[in-house]
Amino acid sequence: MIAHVGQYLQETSARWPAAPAIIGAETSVTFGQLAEQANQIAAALIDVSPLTKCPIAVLLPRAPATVAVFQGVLWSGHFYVPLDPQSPRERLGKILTDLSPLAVVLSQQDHLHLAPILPPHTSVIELEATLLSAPTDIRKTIQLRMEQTIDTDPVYLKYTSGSTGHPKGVVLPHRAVTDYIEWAAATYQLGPDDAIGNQAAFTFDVSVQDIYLCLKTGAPLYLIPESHFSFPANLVDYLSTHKISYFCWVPSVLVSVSKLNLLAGVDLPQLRWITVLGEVMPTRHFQYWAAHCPTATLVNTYGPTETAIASTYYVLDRAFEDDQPLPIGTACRNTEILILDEQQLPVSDQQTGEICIRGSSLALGYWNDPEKTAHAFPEIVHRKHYPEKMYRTGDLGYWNERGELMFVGRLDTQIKHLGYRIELGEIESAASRVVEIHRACVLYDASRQQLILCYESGRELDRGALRKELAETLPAYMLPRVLLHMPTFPLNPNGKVDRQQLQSHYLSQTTTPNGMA
Amino acid sequence: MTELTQTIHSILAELRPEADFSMSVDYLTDGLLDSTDIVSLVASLDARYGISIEGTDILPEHFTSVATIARLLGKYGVAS
Repeated sequence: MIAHVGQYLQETSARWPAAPAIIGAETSVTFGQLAEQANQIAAALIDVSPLTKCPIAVLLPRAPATVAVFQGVLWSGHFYVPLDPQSPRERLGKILTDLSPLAVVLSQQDHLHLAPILPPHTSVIELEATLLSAPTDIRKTIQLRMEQTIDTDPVYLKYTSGSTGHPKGVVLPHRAVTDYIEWAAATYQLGPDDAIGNQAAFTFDVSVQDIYLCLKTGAPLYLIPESHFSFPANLVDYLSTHKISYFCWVPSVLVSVSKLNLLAGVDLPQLRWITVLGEVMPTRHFQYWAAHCPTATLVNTYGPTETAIASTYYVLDRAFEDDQPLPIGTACRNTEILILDEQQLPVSDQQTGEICIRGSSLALGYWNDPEKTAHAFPEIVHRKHYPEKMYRTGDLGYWNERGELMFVGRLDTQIKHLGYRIELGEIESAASRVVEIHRACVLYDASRQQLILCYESGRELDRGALRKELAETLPAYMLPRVLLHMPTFPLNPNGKVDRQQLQSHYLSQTTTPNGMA
Repeated sequence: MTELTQTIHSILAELRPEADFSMSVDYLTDGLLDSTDIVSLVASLDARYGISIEGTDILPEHFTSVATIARLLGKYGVAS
């Protein structure tokens, strides 16, 4: 039984050293080369400090060597924190201050321009120089450090949007990932003859599934160039050329292919698994893929960042009306779904309540935030005999008559946009810092997949200048597309901003949107 | 500047008001248009000219500049 995530590469590189492991746009590596690179990174980190179980920030792009860095971090007894070096510097600076990593791993080029925001006392490891350094035999040290890691120690920390304007760090332990990957490998039955098509950024937890399914099963991982997701015709060509047999993408990518009818006349006989995660999958577009890929099994999965990858899954087994929502299915192994009311007690059969999750896949909590952790991971109140934590997702759901979980919506203003989880409050917080803005409220038009910033200000601000200022603190996917100026916001009887009226104002300026957040 | 190129310029400015398209020789490599921009741009062009740009025409080479976008529109009968 695998207890440490770093064991996957050790086993696979010993078994298939010369087999292709990670294929990027510019470089690719075999499992043997990946292990050699991981060893170099581990050696550099072991040199930094005798400490273990510390966060190591990885500020690298989605590339084969980055996977080696993740493994090197784990082999050195630490845990990794993937960060996008292209994120706005202010946001990155806040995260690095919150994290206070033992070391950061980055490219020589990024070292130059990110130097001002790196915390003092943090060691810097430049990727290029480290991979070129003379190899050292540190196998015994690695083995010792891995043996000293227990399965409840952290394996990775991912930052996600925070409602107060500060991203929050979710810490996952080894056992959550190994338990999930063992389940996924057994379910999808992948092997070296398969090919995994990766879409997710390494900061997004779907990539954890892609990476460790590759390292567990020996199926090569293809890092599909990001530009292909802007031009879906190229994406379909890529699937065919590289004989991709499995992928897990955000639904919006499948929708873009379906809307443009790009699978008409295309044969993808090697495609065995089409899985989605990250947002609601529109039924019509899922069925389009099912109709055009008869050899594939389609799986709709569901899971928050606070649990390892997916918590539930639904294998498409019947036809639906286009306006009928798809189930998100039943629980993955070692996971139980609880539907609870406001008192955190079970609802009656088929009633809607908050989706709560218990089991081995749960995160340890939020980095440096015991208050948020206690709120989101409370004890299960209706099981009084011994204490056990669950995760409150904030999602609403119910069991249908077939015993399948159905997703209904959110309890708060968190949304999913292009697969990214966004707290609208984080954008509102960034907008409120613009000097001339008195108040800000952000809406989401799901049908157009666009964010709308309503702002209260004495005058209408220049759109370009406002977007530019927001881009200094928000990543590109969080930038509002529509900017609506209002001299004063409508208020409800409690004196709070009336979001319904703001929505009506937005709707009056556009046509037939629906699914507003 | 023709009426067509002026219209394309104004659609681009509406999409990305903070970006300076005039200084770019390739909107994609310069990072001026991302995947959501391309979707919005195609929708705007379709609506403005009453056409339906085929998915197989949504390729990087057609979205690098105002000139390449205008050429793509020419294929759909939009006169420059």
